[in-house]
Amino acid sequence: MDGTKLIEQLASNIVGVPPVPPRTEVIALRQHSLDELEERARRFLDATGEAYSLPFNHRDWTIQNNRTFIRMPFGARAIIYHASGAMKLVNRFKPMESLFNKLEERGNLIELVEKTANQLKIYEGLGQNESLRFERLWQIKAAAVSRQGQTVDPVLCRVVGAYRHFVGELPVWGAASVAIKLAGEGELDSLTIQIRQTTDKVVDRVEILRPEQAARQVFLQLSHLMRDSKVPVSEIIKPRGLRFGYLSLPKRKAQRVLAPVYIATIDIEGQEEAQAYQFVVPATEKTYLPLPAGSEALPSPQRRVG
Amino acid sequence: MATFGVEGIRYFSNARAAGVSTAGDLTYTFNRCNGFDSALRSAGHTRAFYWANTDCWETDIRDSDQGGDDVHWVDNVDIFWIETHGNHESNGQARMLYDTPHTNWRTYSGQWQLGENWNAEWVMAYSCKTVDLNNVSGLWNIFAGMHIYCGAWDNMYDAWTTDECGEDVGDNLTDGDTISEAWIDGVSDWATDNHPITVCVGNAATWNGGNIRWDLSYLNRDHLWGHGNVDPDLPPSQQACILWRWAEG
Repeated sequence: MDGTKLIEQLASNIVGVPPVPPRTEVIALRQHSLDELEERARRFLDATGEAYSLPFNHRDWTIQNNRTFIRMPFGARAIIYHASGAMKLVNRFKPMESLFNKLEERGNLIELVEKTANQLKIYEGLGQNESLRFERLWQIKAAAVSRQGQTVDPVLCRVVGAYRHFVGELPVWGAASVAIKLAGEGELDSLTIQIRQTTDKVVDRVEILRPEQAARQVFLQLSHLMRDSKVPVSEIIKPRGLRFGYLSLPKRKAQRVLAPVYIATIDIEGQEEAQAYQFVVPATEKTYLPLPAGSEALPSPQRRVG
Repeated sequence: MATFGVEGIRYFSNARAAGVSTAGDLTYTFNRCNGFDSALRSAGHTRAFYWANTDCWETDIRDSDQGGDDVHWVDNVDIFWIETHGNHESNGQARMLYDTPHTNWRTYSGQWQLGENWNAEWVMAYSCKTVDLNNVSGLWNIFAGMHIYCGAWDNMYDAWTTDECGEDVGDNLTDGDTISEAWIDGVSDWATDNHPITVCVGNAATWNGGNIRWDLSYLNRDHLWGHGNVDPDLPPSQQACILWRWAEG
């Protein structure tokens, strides 16, 4: 398989959305003051505490570098990330407490997560033409084996329901927009919300690059990372598909607009080292959203002598 | 408080040029390493070393009894964070790649013995597939007093969406999460499939005849020094079982 075939394969495997539209909008995001973020967090904690009869009304707030840390009784805590407005609530459980009684059918677990989602009212408060859709169920399990080789059946520790924010029909890619983690008996273990709030302001209406153009950019980036490899890149790549949509940067990064991108997931298989990459490329000629760049190592105070 | 070490390898041009590996360069290695370093140092922990690229040597983790130098490096800190390409052997040993043959291009966990008379409690490897989920026992020899190995049972992604994983894990540790939870939550954004796993050993009381006392395990009880309980070391003679906790989607 040479580069051409890989590009074609990527471009023809758009995952998870209807056909890529020829045009879409670049949308301004709401920028919040710290006071506004903290007020949102207070409402969020009040509502969650009430829904679950948890003592979230007793709080100790500390403003740290790039976040506000809120300590609550019995080891519970919440965090607000200033740059994005993302919120994380962690209840008091230790990881191997409050386990599920048994491994459950996926359908039952999804139902449990959806019931919690409704109880937490995660679907409310979104903008017009926006939605939140269930994306994926994750399970955290544990197992063990003795010195003599005796095994035990896995136990189910937690389930996580991951949800995706949509603006119109376009998903906002990045971390799960909402992640609900449940312990046994459906108790709330943690809740993370990473939804960038949109405004009504359309910054621009843009033409979307064809998937082939994005796939070529991905191939060029990957080829650079693997330059001078003794095995041609195209022979070892396993593309997992190309996704189109908006992008939400990681939670410690400020962001002014939602702009369309393509995201490629590429695995390298059958080699000594397993490799796994995700690439994001703008879906527009003009760059509206600077993407995180790779850092270099901190200068070391030590000098290595062999 | 804890001492910690960091090793990250972003560039693999030497390994490729030597024909040792097809491993590509990574992009966000030091976003993660720097984030972990920053989170721990901000909380008052001491960085013992931070090596990058060709300053990372496999002898740093290889046991001193086997010709390595872990006594001065990985087994001389409480917690060790490493980022590089990885995989596992058919016998369940972890394997990781370096970009310089000092003295070998790769490390194999069959040559690790961590926590023996020295210091290491926890290792965190942001590296693909170092744990064989079907043969976790293949790692047993590394637990010579060490408490928990944190790694991945399948691919672990280099992605713009995982560039804050180091800081996330570090913040979780210093916010009071257990080691196991800090790792699994910190490297998971519940979208990218990072396959985290934490592995520890347990005594007879934990094994409890097969009716596992999960509450007694390191997975449930260990925190970073200064942020909660840390159980005593468990010497090999008292290890009755190996336990692991993982996320799958």
